Amino acid sequence: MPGRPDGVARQVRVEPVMGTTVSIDVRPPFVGAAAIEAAVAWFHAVDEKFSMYRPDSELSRIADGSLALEDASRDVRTIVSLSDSLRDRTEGYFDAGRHRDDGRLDPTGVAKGWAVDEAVTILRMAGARNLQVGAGGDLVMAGEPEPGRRWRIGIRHPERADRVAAVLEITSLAVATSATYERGAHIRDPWTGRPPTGLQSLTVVGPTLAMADAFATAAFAMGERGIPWVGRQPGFGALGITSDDRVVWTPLVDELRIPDPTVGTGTRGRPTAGSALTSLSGDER
Amino acid sequence: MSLDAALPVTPLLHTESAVRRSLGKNRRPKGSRRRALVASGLSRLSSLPPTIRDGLRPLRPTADSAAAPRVGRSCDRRRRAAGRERRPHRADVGSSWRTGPAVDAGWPVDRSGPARRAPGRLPGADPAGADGPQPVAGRGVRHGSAGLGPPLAGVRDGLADRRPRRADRRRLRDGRRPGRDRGGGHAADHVSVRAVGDRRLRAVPAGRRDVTARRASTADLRDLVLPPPVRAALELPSGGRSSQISRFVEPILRSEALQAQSANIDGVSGATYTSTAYAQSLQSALDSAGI
Repeated sequence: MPGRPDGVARQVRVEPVMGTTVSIDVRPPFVGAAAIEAAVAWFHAVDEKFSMYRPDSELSRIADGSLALEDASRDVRTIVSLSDSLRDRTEGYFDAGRHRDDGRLDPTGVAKGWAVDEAVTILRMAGARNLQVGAGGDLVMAGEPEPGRRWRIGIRHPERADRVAAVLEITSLAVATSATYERGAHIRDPWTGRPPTGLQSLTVVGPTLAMADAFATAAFAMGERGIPWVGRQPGFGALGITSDDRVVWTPLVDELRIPDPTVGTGTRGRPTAGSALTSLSGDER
Repeated sequence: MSLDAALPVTPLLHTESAVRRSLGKNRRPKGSRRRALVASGLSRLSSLPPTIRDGLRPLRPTADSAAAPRVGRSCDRRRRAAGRERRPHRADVGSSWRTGPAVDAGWPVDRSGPARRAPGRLPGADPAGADGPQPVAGRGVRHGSAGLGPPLAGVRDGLADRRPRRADRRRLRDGRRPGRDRGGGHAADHVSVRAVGDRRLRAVPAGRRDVTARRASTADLRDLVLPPPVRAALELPSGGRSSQISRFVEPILRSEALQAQSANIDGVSGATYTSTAYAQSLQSALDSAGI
């Protein structure tokens, strides 16, 4: 399937790490290869500390009691305390200690978002201004993909992996989505212990991916009222797809959302005449 | 990047707990504490930051306080006299609002979402009343059938400055909506306690009642208990965010037309995929186009 139009210069690196795949996409000005490697090495370092699947990771050792939290590395303590504060911010709906079936401490959701935030910082310090870093469906954007155009980010359709249900135009923001279509009902409502109902997918935009990811998890567990809840968090917005196939979004997202994504490219308010009809009739379905 | 910088500064936690505490029962200072506060110009204990407030309250009997028997609440003085330790108060043992999911009392709370609201439930914060069907049966009608006529209008208008009833203060404190007292009560009471968040009685079955009396709402409580700077930080845009959100709805999820190709996108956000699933994802197609 064709992606972006040819001729757009990009510096792309794809790396399987942290149980998912990380994509780094730098647009001009480019950075040295060493900077990209430093970002990739950073992701592997985070994986070593936070992976629940490595018995020797710090988090696994904290979970099985062989490492005291006070003796853990600064990064691990930072993430654990961030998880604690996020539990308070989310009415208890984001609870690193209660989302898992075995009740083990699992702040990996926050850790992944935080790792992406930090990787963006690494690349920006190396001189990148326009970039996108994604990890498993969660993205952080900075700058713009081409001069004068904003990043166009699709929200995946909950039933069709090759379709998008909405498109947002973003300059520098993080986007995180919680849903059940990839890994099943892995999110539990920590207050009831049952999988949440009401939403098929919930996308949160905000200043940092660590927070956006945690808010998406928490608000998804709240059900449909999670959408206005995110709307009340300063600087964050949400777009949810309900179980009865409505798309609901908050005022912040309304400023980013493209009403008809098939029209124009990055020129909201200046649609290309006729292109909408062409695209619609050109679809096979 | 420091994580402190990553956390947006928000006044909500402190103010939520302040509202909840101030809405609690028996939270008004009494006796010597009240006199001391009035003398010091700080007559509104609840508007003080917790640190100062806790400093004013004798937390447990000390030798000094025992020597000064008129200090503290009467119940504390009785305990001191009996040599008993003071039971830790809700406000002393930590933040009680952490223990439950409902901490947003005092803000327009939309727990149901605009279109999933069952007909029998309270209409909620929807001053415009334009979105979704209005409730036609259940509690709302029961209220309406009270049929406030002219003789009650004076009573009703007099309610504007009343605090909510004790039962509703309790409900507010617990983060629930004020509601109807099951045990009856006189009709005028109902006027004062309809759904929190909108200031006028709009969400009432059409034709049953034309009351637009100003009700005591959580906004009034907020004005009473919070100092102006904090109050200003809490002000929501008119109507509240929750009611605005209902405007941003697309009734049907479009499954055609939005093929990623025609949407011309740079990235895709979706549920977390594994490295195996990545190979089939839109993101991998977008990435490979640039390699």
